[in-house]
Amino acid sequence: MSLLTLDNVTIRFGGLTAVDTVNLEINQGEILALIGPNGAGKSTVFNLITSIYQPTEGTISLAGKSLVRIPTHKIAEMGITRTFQTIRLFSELSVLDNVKIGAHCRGKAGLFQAFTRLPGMKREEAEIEEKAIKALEFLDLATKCEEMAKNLSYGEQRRLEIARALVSKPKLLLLDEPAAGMNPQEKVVLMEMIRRIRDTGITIFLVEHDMKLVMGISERIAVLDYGKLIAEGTPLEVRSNNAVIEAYLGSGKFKSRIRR
Amino acid sequence: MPILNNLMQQLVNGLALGSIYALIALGYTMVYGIIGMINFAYGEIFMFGAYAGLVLALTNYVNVYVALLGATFITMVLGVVIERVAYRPLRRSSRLSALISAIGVSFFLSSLMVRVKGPNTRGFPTLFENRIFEIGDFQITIYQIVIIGVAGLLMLSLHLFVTYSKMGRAMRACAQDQDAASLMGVNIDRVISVTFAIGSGLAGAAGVLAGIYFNAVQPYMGLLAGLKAFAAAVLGGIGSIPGAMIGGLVIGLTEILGVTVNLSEYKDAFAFAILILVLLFKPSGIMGRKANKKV
Repeated sequence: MSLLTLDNVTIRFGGLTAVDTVNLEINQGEILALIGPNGAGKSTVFNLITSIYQPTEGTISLAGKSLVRIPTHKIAEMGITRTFQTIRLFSELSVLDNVKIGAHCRGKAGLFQAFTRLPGMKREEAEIEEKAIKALEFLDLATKCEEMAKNLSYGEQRRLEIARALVSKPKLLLLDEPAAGMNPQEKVVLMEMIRRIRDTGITIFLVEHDMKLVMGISERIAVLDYGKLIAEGTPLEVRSNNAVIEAYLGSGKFKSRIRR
Repeated sequence: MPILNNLMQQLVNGLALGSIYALIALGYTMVYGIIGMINFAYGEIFMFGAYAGLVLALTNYVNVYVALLGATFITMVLGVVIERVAYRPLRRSSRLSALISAIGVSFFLSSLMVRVKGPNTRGFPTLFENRIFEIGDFQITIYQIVIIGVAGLLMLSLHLFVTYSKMGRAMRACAQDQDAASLMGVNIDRVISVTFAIGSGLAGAAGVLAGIYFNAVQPYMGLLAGLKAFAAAVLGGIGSIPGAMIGGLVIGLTEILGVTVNLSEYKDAFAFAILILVLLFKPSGIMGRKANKKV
């Protein structure tokens, strides 16, 4: 069953077509990787899904509900959360507060709720705290609750981003280059972690450059080049696909790579 | 020891005045922390609060707490409306545009008040009997107790709200990374509205307290108070909530101590001298962070 559907999605920035009529389905419960050379439009796809950009043409829908024109802050509530290519934690907040922000989309928040519904708010806050601690335990960070996020090690910060994205129990988790800057051992741990997250029923869509990781955990791979989807299939199929090899290594023949 | 006693006396006076500045400074600092703009209209919101309190007090049915709450509520709404009308459309343009818009709003509000209530200074009706407590030679009026108490209570609830509530957490997150916060489900527009509501409500409450304390309300009272509170926010480290509280108290105390040492002609100059010195020697202020842009 398809969870997220991209239907003829195109976005143009002035004369540049960053994403060009992409059709892609992400199935419930799978691990799908999106790969492609630098500047292929992978991050733009994430920004389209999270409604930071609106597609010039085409539609994106989550379980049949259109995401187009939904404000960014509603996306998390609908069940899509993400991590970032470069870490974007709230560095001056505690680890626990960072994760609690991830649960912001659940339940109510406001000035009047805070002062008029004190008991309700307290209960809600306790629930959020419990969830946040569970998410931190899941990612082995429970002992760091009170630390400021900026004082964590790089690998811990990466995990904290994932915890923050998981706490609201999303349907779909977008991981933007989760292995960036990690050493080989950390990558092995990360692969394990991603599988564990998927086993809790969360669908995973990741952008990644590290081929070993991508080939190791993905069930399907989609390849983007100059905004166009040039291949889609199992790791084995993609690995032997001529268009993919050409996009990554060149064809060996002279060919202008500049699109007209 | 008359000198020591006098000093104690002035400390209390300074604390009362400083509490008023601190309440206004909180608005400056919170808005700056979140959207990086200086809302120069806070002085006029303070003036509006004073008038709202005055109008409520004149109805005779109202005691001081109702006047205070009512004025706070009215200025909260005013702050939210100002943000909607004058700042939100400029959110994506340069900071200078928003600043100029803020100056425009501030002139608009004071001129509006001149039009509606006239330019004359008005006395504030007595909402409760002033009494003086004497401890030895040292005196404290019930007005001062109320001002310091109410200001302290408001600052404490602000601190609790920002530290422990969900909205407060969202505010702190927005101050650091709005886009990331919005992807976590935080509605940025809502957070900004709440920030303006709180900042304006505090300034409005300060207006009522100042009206009671000085027994004088006039349409241009916000200009100087607002600028001094701005100096307080910068002194404390703009963007920092505890900084604004400390900065306000320091400015209030300096002003009163200046009067004590016979420099009363320069009483309004102290805040600005401090502002200039802070900007020259420690632009990040007392509690501000060095290179980081905002809290």
